[in-house]
Amino acid sequence: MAGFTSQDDIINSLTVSGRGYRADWQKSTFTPTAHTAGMWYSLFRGGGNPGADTILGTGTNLAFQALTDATTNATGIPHGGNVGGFKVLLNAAAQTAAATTAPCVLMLVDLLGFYPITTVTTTGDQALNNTVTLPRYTDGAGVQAFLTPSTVMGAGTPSIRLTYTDSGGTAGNLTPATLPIGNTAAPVTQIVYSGTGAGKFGPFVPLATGDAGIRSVQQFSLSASYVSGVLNLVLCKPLMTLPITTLGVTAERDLVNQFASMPKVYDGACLAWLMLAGAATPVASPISGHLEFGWGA
Amino acid sequence: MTMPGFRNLRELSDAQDAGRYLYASFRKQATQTTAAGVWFDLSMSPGNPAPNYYIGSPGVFVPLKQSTDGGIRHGGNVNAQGQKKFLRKLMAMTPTATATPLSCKLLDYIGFYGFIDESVLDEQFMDNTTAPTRYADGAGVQLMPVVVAGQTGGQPFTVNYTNQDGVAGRISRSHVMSTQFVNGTILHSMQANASYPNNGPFLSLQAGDSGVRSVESVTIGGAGDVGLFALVLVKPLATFALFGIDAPTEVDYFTDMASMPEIKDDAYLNLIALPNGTLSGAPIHGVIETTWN
Repeated sequence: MAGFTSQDDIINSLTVSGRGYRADWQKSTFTPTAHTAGMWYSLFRGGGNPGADTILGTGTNLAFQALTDATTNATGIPHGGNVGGFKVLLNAAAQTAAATTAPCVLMLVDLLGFYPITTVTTTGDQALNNTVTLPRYTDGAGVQAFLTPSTVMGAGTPSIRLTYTDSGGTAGNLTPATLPIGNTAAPVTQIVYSGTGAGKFGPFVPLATGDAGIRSVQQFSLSASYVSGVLNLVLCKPLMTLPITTLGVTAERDLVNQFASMPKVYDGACLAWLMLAGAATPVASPISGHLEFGWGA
Repeated sequence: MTMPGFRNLRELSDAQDAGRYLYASFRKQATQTTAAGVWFDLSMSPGNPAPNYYIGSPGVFVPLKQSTDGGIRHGGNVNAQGQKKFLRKLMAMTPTATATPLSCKLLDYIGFYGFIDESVLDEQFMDNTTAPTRYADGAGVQLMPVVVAGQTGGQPFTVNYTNQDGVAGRISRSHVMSTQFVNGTILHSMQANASYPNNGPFLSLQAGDSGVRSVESVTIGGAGDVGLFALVLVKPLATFALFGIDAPTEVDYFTDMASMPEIKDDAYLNLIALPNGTLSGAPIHGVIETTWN
C-alpha cells in the first residue's frame, strides 16, 4: 500500500522519488442552472477543466454503473493514474471571483457509481439492479448517496426512500423518517431534496440509526409521481470540505499539518465537487483551484 | 550514489546551511486595466522580472527559458550536479487595497505559439520544429491562451493537440473569446456568463486528458475576430493568495502545503492572477526561496 510512515517519508517521496501529482482544475456552475442559496449542487456536469460529464442519465434504467477516472464520458478531476493502492490528498485550494458565488462550501467526493432512474412517475418501491458492484470502498464503509437530475424534474414533491444494504452487510435498511422530499422542478445538478425546512437534507440521503455507509441500494421509492425528468442515485465517498468565504479570497487546506487527515484517494477514483450555495449564484460562475497528491512506496 | 532530492527534514535543513538555498525577489506592477474575475498573465506586466511579450513567428513554438528570457529568478541549473531544485517558500504582498483579495498561481512557462490570428477561419497549423525543453512528455502541462492584441470577443475556438500519452488529434472543448481585451488577459476567462462554461485559466481538454505534449493546430470559429493571442504551454507549480494590505502572504511549501514543487533546470517562472478589479498601478512584491539537494 502507498501511505507514509513519517514526515521524512513524505519529503523523500515528494522530492527524491517524485511521488506527487498536482491537478489544477476549474469548474463552472452548470449553464442552465442558477444556484439557490441553501441548496446543494453537483459541479460534475459544469463546464471547465475537466469538462462536463455526459454519463449521468445514461445506461439501463435502475442498473448500477461504476465510475472510475477512466470511464468514458465521466470527467473526474485527474489525480495522476494508478499507484498500486492509494494516494493521499496533501493540500487543496479553491477560489472564485464570480459575483455572488461566495460564500459557498465545496465538498470533494469520489463518485463510485450511479443508478439512472427514468421511471420517475412510478410510485412505490422499484427494484434496483446491482449486477455491477462498488468499484472502490467495496464494503460500503463511509459511502453515501445523493440524488441529482440529468434532466430537469417535473412539478412534483415526492418523498424519497431507499432500501439499502449497509456497510456491515445488513440488508433491508430504510431511509429513516422524516423522509427527504424532492424539490419541485428540481434543475439539473441540484441535489433534489436539499434546502431548508422539514424533509430537506444536504447533501446526502440520511441513513438509518447506527449505519456508517451504503454497500448497495435494493429499492428506490417515490411517494408520488415526479411527473417528468431523469434522476440519478449517486453513491460516493466524501473526502474533504473546503469553504470559500469571500469573493476572491482563496480557500486553502493543508491536509497534513493543518487538518491532519490526508484523505485517501484510491486508484480509479472519480473526483468531483459538490457545492452548497451560500448565495444566489448565476449560471456558468467559475470556481478554480488545485489538488495535490502524494504517495509512499 | 545518493538520489537527488531530500530524504528527510535534516537534509532540508542541511541544504540551507550549506548554501544550497536562494532568495530571489520580484516586483510586478501591471499597467493594464484588468477586470474582476478575469485571469491575467502578470508576465506581460512591467517590473522585475522584465515583461515578456511573447515575441516569435506566428504559430511557431518558442521555448521560454530562464537563461534566455528571464522570468522570476530561481537560481542556476543543478541537475548536472545530481541534484533537484524545489520551491521552499514564497512571500508576496501589495500596498494597494484595490488589488486584494488576489489569487495567484506560480507557473513554469514552458513555451508558446505566438501570434495566432483570430481573423483566420481556416485551420491554423502550428510549427513544432523546436521541442519543449521541460515536461516534454506533457504530463500536467496546461494550455493558456493569452491576449497579445485585443479582440472584440464572443467567437469560439478549439485546439488540436497531442496529449500526455502521445495520442495526437485530441480536440479541446470549444471556448469563447472574452470581451476583456487588454494584453495579458487569459483569452477565454470571464467572471460568469452562460456563454462561457469552459472558463479559464486553462483550456478544457478532451475528456480523459490531463496534459498536453504539443499543439498541432488552432481553429477559430464563428465570424472570427480582430485580435491575436499566444497559446502558452504551462506547468502549474504553486498557488498563493493576497488577502489584504495589512500583512504579507507567506507560504512554506513543505510545512504549509506539504508539496515542495520541483523547479526544473532553466525554468521560466512567472505568475498569473485572478483580480477583483483593476491591477493597474498596483505593485505586487515578493520573494521566492528555492533549495536544492
